[in-house]
Amino acid sequence: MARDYYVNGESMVQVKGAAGSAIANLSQLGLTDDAIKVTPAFKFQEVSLDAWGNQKVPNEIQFMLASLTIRMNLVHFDKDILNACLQESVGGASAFGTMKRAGTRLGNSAARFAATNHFIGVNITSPVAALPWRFLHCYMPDVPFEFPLGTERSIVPVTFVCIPYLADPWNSGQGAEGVVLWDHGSDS
Amino acid sequence: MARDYVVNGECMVQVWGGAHLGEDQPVGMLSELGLASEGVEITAFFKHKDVLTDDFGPVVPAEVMTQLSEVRIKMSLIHYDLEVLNICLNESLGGGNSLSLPWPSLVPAAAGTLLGNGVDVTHSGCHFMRLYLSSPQLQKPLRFLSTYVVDQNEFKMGTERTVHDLLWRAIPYTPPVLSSGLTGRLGQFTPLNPTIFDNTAAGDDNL
Repeated sequence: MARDYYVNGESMVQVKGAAGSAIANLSQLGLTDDAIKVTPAFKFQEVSLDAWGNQKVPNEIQFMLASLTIRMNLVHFDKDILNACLQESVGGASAFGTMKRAGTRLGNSAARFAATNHFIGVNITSPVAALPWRFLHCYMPDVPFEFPLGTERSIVPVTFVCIPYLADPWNSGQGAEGVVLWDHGSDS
Repeated sequence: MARDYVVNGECMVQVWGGAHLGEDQPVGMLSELGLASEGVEITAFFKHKDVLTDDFGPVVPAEVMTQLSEVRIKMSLIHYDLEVLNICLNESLGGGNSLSLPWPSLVPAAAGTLLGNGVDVTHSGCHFMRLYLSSPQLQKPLRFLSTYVVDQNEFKMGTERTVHDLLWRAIPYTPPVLSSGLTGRLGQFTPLNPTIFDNTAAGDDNL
């Protein structure tokens, strides 16, 4: 692939969640007022030894998986879909603004889009570059949004976090080998 | 073999207990106990006895005798089979909780109950268990041939996931061999080359 400017194009954010939820089908969340920011966080474990300066600088690095944050400022969006994302992110709450019991798990050792798996698939279209982004297991974290209420149109900063979820972390002895954090596919 | 960093890989803990549990039942057959929240810690204790002579003074030995060894295996289980865990705990207490009792429950056997009972591990009546630690990356699994849970730290019951801290003890248990002419249940112990652990992978056992 040759060098070129990279232009994603108009990025529609779509989400899909658990069977039986309000976002059981792929749904449009909305458009943003500026670029969507995707920030991966790769985790590493330093391997130090006395012969290499005793933890000052490592001699080797171990990769310890990664998570990812998606930040967007929604300006033209479906509030019902946003509410549904919030409900799923707290473990499948029955209504916007209600809680699930403390300790509720999101994945529940279930397959993607199963009724008890409340992780959300976040899809970002790519009409110009034709390289859509799909983040397979997302949830809205501790500060999910900031909703300004006033006379102007609300621009809502929204955050999703994506983790490498797998129903069985043993994975037949493979661990996280091959677990997809993101890809360029699209949910349907 | 050259020097290198040693990375064991994802460590699955499996157990295999006595046939009295049912050879097609949890722990009666090779069963997954679970995954630990951090690495599984293995500590070996080598036992020695000093041989003192007057010639060498009263403190420094002239010779040392080996007196076998035991190994402690410490794990904090976070993704585990609760039924398998419960059976391991009860077997470690002499198997007082027979298969007729529902789990979870902790029912120690009568005081003085032997764990080995003079039979081989995984045979009916032996409450020792084989403990297996997988090694998917290093390919050097560990099999502890006769173990029991010696300690269980406090565990919390609440909204967060419950972690069980277990301390296993592995000893070189060997059923006694009855020599000819001897009567009674206990014959002659012949701990020749008793094995505490080896590199046999779970499922590769030769019973």
